[in-house]
Amino acid sequence: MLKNYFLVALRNVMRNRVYTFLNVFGLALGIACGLIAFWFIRFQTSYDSFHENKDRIFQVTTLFIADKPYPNRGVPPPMSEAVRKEMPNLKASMCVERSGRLLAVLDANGKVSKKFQSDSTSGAFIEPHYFEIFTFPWLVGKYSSMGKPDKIALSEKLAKKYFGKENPIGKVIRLDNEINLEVVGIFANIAENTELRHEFYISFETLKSHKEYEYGGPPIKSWGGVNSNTYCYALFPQHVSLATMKPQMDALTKKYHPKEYKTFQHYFVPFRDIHFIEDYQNNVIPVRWLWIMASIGAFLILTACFNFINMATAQAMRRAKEVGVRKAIGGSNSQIFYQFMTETGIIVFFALVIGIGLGALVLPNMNVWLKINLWASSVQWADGIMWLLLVCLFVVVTALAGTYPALVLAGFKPIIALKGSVSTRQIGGVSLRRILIVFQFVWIQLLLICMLIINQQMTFMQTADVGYNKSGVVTINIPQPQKLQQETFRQRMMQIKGIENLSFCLFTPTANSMNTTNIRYHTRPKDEIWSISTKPYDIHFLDTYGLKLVAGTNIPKSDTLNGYLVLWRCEKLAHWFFAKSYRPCSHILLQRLLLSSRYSLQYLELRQYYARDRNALVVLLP
Amino acid sequence: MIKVQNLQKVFTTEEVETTALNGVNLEIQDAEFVAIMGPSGCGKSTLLNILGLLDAPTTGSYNLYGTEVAKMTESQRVAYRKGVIGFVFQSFNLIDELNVYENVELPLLYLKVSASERKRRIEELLLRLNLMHRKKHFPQQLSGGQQQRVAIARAIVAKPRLILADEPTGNLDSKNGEEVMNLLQELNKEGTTIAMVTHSQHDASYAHRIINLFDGNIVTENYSTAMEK
Repeated sequence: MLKNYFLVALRNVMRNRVYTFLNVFGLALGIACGLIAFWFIRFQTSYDSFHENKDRIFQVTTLFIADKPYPNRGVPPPMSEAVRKEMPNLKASMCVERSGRLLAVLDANGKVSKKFQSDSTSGAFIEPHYFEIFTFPWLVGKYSSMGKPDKIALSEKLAKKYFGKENPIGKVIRLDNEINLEVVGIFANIAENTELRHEFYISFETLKSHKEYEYGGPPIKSWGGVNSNTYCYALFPQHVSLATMKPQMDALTKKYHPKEYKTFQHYFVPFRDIHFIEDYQNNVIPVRWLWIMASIGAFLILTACFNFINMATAQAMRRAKEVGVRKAIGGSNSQIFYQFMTETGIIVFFALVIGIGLGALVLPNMNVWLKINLWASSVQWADGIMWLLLVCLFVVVTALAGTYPALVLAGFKPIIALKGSVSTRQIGGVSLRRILIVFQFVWIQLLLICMLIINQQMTFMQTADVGYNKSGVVTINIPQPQKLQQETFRQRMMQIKGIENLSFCLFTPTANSMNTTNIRYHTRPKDEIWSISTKPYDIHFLDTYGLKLVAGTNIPKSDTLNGYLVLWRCEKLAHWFFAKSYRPCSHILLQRLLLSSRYSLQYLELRQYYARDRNALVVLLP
Repeated sequence: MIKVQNLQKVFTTEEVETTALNGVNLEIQDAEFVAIMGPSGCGKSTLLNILGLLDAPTTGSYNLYGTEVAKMTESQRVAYRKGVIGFVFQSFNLIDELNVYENVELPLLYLKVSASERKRRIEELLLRLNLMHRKKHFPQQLSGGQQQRVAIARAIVAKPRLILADEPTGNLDSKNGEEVMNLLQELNKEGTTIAMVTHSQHDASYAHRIINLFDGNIVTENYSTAMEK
């Protein structure tokens, strides 16, 4: 019987090619979209799931309490040592991230043979415990050697890039033209789905023994500041809960911030949650996005099913006579029902195969097309959950799309069907199909509208006037030079044909990275409880980026920190400078602010303000 | 034996009530060949459909081989007619997606007959009806006569006691029609009861008895002279 069902179904599918094509492709598109949504969710939820101890890994975070709580993923650099000391049953490691390092391979004579800039490949300073907390297996060498200063370990990929077929162990790599590091190990290539996408690791001890090295954060022994890229990870022993460790972390906070513990606190956060917490990440995927994606995927598949139901019931008229004949010669309702379900099953199967194919073709391009990094770069064919989903999808879609038309067909009265006088009422009436069509159209139009809005927003983001000239400006990471070297470098660079201007700056104007500092208005007795972000530049910065001042003139050249520019519409400063009107007026020039930060205490005069960004202050490099 | 008493069939639409059969009484003996004749709209096909359990009467009784079937539900009727009644239609009604062999096989599949038994029966039948060489052909590749022979093969493959034929030669030329009628007669001689609706006096002449219907009632019953024993 089943063979007969298949035969008839296959021959029907082949006979009605246009109908089959429309149905298969309609379903396949729905399924492909559903799969893309599934792969998104799967990739996002699989983040760092490969660590053996994934449920026992915690990140120590910081919470500054000012006018409101300011969570920060970073911690003071001595944190891991303190955790190990105060909570001896925990393993802990620092992890100081920063991309854009310069790495140079030295030859046997100590001369630079190859130079690399790790702008796309990031690295981190870590302690040996790091490899006990996370599962990044070493292929060559022992991670315990990362306990000594001046050691570096490379991923297999990076080792191949830097050294080719040579054995990298014992070779020397120079970091930022300052520190020579010995290659002590090679670890397995890293997965795409990890927060810790580091291609190389340098021993944290290196930072301790080269205090002069500018790593981007506060002094290595200091509890006073936090760099948002200086992390501390800890591994809890088995069966120890977050609740039991909280009092110990509170005690640690009190001990190491005796005066500030009310405003400068530390917490353990489950490491795998970090990926979804907006407070700690710039480009985070909030959990609600997963639900949104899941529902979009499900609704698209549902729409495709509705489309199928509509076409199949409309098509049912054509099959009426066949149903009548089958019933007359002894076919029961259930036998006819299963026959049509088999046909739907075959169409759904084809649709699934084509859908998977389409999805697999599109998936590698998703990140490229959308200029984001939210999907795995290829289909994980070995993913059991995916196959389970596909089987479920087959069953559910077949049931959803096939049941109604099959019931309608199996329910035909044999004489009416034989006469071929089946009316639309018998195939479910116009109203049901109308409802399905209305649902389909409303839903698809809603998605189209959303897509148009997103597209408009993206276009706006890409083309909006950000207040400076983005084109033709190239950013190169360099080690922080001495004042004299800086000037020489500038002169040499300016001799290169085509370079019109050059500016040294710590961050590009709209970079996410920033330093924050406390601030005091000259007429106020104390620092404000909020802080403000600062971006240091030199005097060529305005010309290089084509920034226009709303009022005032550029800060004069000087060897000391002697002025700052403040952003027009800087909200936090508005009530002092702009009286909330944001109208530029000369009286706000030359007002003084006290900045307490790494730039030491100093009164600065407000000279100019520009652009239309928010909450930022521009400080000139001393 | 088939016994119909006071059979009534009323079709009700939103506005009109049409009485198709108005108190029909009829007995058909085993191995009898009955032709039902009458003008269009007289209720011939309705009677045949009720006899074939494709439709239920509004009132009256219908005793089919000792079982009262008039009040059966549709699924009961389907279960009961399986293997007992075979249908031959004017327009053959073969399933286009199935070839000759598969079309003939269908009733046996619905009866869940074993594969080897199916093969034996179908091949025997196709040989007899001279269709063996057309086994793999699809309906649209056959002539009308061949198609009707396949339809008859399908109707009799499950060895039914009763064959209902609705103008079996209506779409055939006289030569093919003759062939089909001879076949039906042959089957009848082997013991199958046949009830046939027809407009053709010639076809009716093959039957033992001709029943004339008019306005939902049997008006005359004639025993065919040609075929009278």
